[in-house]
Amino acid sequence: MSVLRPGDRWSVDDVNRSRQFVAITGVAGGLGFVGQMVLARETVALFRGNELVLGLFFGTWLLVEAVGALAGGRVPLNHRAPLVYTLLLAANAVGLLAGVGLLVLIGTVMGTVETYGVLTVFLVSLAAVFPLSISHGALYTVGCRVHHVWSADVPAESAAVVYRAETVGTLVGGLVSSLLLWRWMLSVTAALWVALALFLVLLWVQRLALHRVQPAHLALGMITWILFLAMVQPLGASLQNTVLEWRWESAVESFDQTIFGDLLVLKQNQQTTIYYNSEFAAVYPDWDSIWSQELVYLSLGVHPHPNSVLLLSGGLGGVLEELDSVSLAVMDYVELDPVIFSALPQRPENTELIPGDARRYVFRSEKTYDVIIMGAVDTTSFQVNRMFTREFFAAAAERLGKNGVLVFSTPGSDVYPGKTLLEWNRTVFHTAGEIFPHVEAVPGDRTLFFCSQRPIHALSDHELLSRRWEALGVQPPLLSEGYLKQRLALHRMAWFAELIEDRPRLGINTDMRPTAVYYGLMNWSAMFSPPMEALLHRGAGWGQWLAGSALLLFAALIAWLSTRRPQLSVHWAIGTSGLYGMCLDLLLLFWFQIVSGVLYAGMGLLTALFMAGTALGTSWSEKTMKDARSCWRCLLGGDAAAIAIALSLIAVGSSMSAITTDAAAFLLFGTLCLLAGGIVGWQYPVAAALQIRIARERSVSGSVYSSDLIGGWAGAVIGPLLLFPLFGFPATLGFLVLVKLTSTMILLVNRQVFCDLPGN
Amino acid sequence: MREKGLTRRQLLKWMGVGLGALYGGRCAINLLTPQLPETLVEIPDEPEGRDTMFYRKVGKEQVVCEVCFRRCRLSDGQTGFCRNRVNRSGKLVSIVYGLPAAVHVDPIEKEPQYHFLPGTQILCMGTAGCNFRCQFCQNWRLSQRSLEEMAMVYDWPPETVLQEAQSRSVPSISFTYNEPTTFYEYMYDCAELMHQAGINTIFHTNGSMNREALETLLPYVSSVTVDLKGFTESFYDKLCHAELEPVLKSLQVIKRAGVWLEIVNLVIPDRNDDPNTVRDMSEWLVANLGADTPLHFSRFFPQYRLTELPPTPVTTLERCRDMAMQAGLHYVSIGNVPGHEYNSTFCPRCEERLVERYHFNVHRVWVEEGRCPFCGREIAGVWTM
Repeated sequence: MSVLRPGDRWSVDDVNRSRQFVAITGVAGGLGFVGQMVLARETVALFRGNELVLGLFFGTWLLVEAVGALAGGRVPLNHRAPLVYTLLLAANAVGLLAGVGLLVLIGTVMGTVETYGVLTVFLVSLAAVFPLSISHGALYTVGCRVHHVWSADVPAESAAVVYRAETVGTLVGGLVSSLLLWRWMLSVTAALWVALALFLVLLWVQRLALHRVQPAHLALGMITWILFLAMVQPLGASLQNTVLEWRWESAVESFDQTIFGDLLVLKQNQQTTIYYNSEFAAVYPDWDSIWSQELVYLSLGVHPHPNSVLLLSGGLGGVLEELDSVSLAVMDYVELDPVIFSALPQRPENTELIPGDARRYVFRSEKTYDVIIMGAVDTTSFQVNRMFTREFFAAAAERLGKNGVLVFSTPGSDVYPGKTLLEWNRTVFHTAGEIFPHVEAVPGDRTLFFCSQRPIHALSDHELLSRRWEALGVQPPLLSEGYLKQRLALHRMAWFAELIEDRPRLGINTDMRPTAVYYGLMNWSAMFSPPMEALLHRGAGWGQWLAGSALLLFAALIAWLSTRRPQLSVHWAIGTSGLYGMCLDLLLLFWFQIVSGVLYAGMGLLTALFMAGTALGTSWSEKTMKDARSCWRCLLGGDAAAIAIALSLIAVGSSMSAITTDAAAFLLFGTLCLLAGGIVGWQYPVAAALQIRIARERSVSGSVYSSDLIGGWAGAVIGPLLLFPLFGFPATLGFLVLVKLTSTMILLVNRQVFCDLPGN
Repeated sequence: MREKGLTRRQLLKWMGVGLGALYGGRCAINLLTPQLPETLVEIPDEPEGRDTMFYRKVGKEQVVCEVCFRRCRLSDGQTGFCRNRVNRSGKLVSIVYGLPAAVHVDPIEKEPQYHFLPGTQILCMGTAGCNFRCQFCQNWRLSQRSLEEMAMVYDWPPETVLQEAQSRSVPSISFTYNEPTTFYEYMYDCAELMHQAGINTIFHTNGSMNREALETLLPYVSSVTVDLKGFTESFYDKLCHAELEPVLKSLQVIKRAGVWLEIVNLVIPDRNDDPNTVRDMSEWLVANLGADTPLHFSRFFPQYRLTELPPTPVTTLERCRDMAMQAGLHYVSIGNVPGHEYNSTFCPRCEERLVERYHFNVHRVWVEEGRCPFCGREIAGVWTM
């Protein structure tokens, strides 16, 4: 097989083959993306549904992918390239299965590990994504080489064509993962499907490489396809069950996977235990009765005449049972994942079960309630934190009647709260205080907060509480006079009030600046990774300064070095675009989650739209590439567009939280993802072309791609772990503006170098 | 090209100016940082502490701490495993002396102490630090941290503890929340003072104190609660990074000293709930401490680093209790299951309820002058002040 060079004579078969190969790279890209989504979801579920893990996951993915891309760039430009591509497809398929298998396996042995910190998350992500992402990264650069070998395109054009095809494939993969995954199949089943499809693509490449149809290959493909069609669904379910049975020693009663999370029900020693996203959620029949009685009866007791009650999630494990036993005119229970309702041991008689997002229910509903009780406690995730923000409290206040009370809780301690819990409770207390003039905190293993527009007397008047319970016809057995004397001791409440009365260091918790997430993250670190907790404490004081000064110092260094090596300015431009793109993509994903309440389904579609934007940007910029000067202008134009988008988002700000329909949310955030992706895509080919002109290399796709991915990695790690919770969304966008300004400045510093390049 | 860019000197200059401006801004922010509430004090940079009572010098500057089974060998400036005892130039100093981080008034049942003045209140204290590393620790924010990591501490020397106990009119004080062995000298000085003032001293321990230290302290102590966390060395090793043998020795020392003793066993599913182990433990308790030693089986809930396990099934706790009773123990209760029948205390002979408890609340005590009012059997414990 000879290598075609520009100017060589082309046959129709060659043209057809290179076109088919472009389609192959698209399909492979799409399948890789679906695989990535499956792994991302399993990783998040493994670490208890905490979506901050996504940053580390995507960061690790990009890092390994960059290594793969660099390694792929070393494959020689000859007839062996298609063979390497075929092997990489096989490695992709096996890698996905190995990754999912490993995550499921880690999930099963986590009970014996019983500890995890940021390092563990990174190592687990690394182990899980390594086989798939390294081969996925190499697929791109090797794909560029195969395309170059099979076509007359120059390397930069091949790079752009393959990049575009991969991203179009990713868009399709994103749609597939959003619409099909977890609605119709388990993650294990999805991984099997993707692996099978990758093997079929492998056969396709082989057919192209050998220049003729191999009947044996086709037959093998068909047989495998038919066999898998029949087997893959039950096989996936069976594998999942086998692993769970192994972990829980045959105690598994059921396992459900939805677009919201995983629900596992165990039955052992006459006890039913429910886990949601690998985290203990509830136990029957002997639930935590003290907690459920405190939450329910204290909430009812602080209102003079409670008739209507709204319970927002957290009904499992006694709370709903206690509420349902009280005679109330209206009792509504809103829960995001309908599978939770199916886990209730018996359907409540007096309660209306409302499936849906609790936050959106509060924003949309016209009804008013005497008491609103929130069951969620831990604000470590954006998903839960959106119920503890000023915006949410304001909406909840609108839903309350004249003497209405909002009751919620946060992790606490009735012995010693520690720095982190104190700041966390302080933050929530002052956030509620922005909306409610009267906020009372009762310390305990979970701090109970009672918020109202009117003074709450009953907490300090136990006789009043008893009278109100009597009027309701209830006598909570555990909340005896002696117990109340201890639990609601005035000196203890005063002690705690004194501790939390100071303003929180990071300010109040809002949709746009979710500071409580930062404290949740800190608490998580406190348990599993104490040095990280100390670091985050310091970060709360120094984080913004450190990030800003580190960026400026580093940019100054690059600016200085780029006067000697001008290609550094291109790498900086594309690296910062990678960082900008990834940060903005994750920011929009979490912002979308705040508005809509959905993560997994949105994750696929929005990321795919981001990639579609990348593809569109790539095609558009290819049309404008003429000479070095125009490329340089394109890079500057990309930076200007990036800055403009970030500034517009800062301007629009919190008004986006008011969106209450799915269609509007998808439309708005989809468009924004498309635009953000467009910038990265727009800059990539021009950066590659400029780099070729500066470095006078034939093939630079690997090094430019790696700069893009390394920038993306940095964005994925610092975005969710530092910027979003510590800076908040507006300041993060401000930081991104600064990042792109440094890129613009460095490009401007080197203006003369680009204008003097040959070919202008 | 060089004249177009920054020179090295200019770069360094601008970096210096930038960093200076950042530091200045930060200092200004520090001035506006909120202060601690008045009742609490800042953590001292280098707490004065108090010389410890049980250690020996090895060589010029090394010391070996003798207060617990670990016997940490410390060079100058090193801190023990417990984070509380520091070698300062050849002297072992307790840095948490007089600096409790948690102070509360609790019902005595919370210890748990079911046979020692039931229904009374106790003044409880705890500092930072612990010599165990239990994966299921309830007070890990206190026990698994050092003094300098505390959010706040109270400046309470022993004299203040006495004043506070008297002002709150509590009959007993208790050293609890974290392991008191790690602040032995503070506990010892307080206990001596309380003894003189007629106030009881209780402590809740993991039982890891060495014999000499324990025997020196016990004359001033009225009651002890010991966590017997499991009954196998492997459990202690894997889940607590500790040893069982020293705990069993401590239990025997306390019993021989005639101090009232109660034992707690937190039953953790799949970790220490094996029926054979529970039977062995119960038989050992009967043989070595006597059948009248109260034993509390406590229900585990997901906690600290052990959050993946389910709560202990109540049937498991009931099975443990049955086995302990069959082994011959007279007073076996079930804790952390509010409202359970065996929150209460029953007469071992006539099986009548003697102390009606609901969780930590005592509703009624029938015991009269240390005897069952229904059959007259003597009921072990301390029932009157």
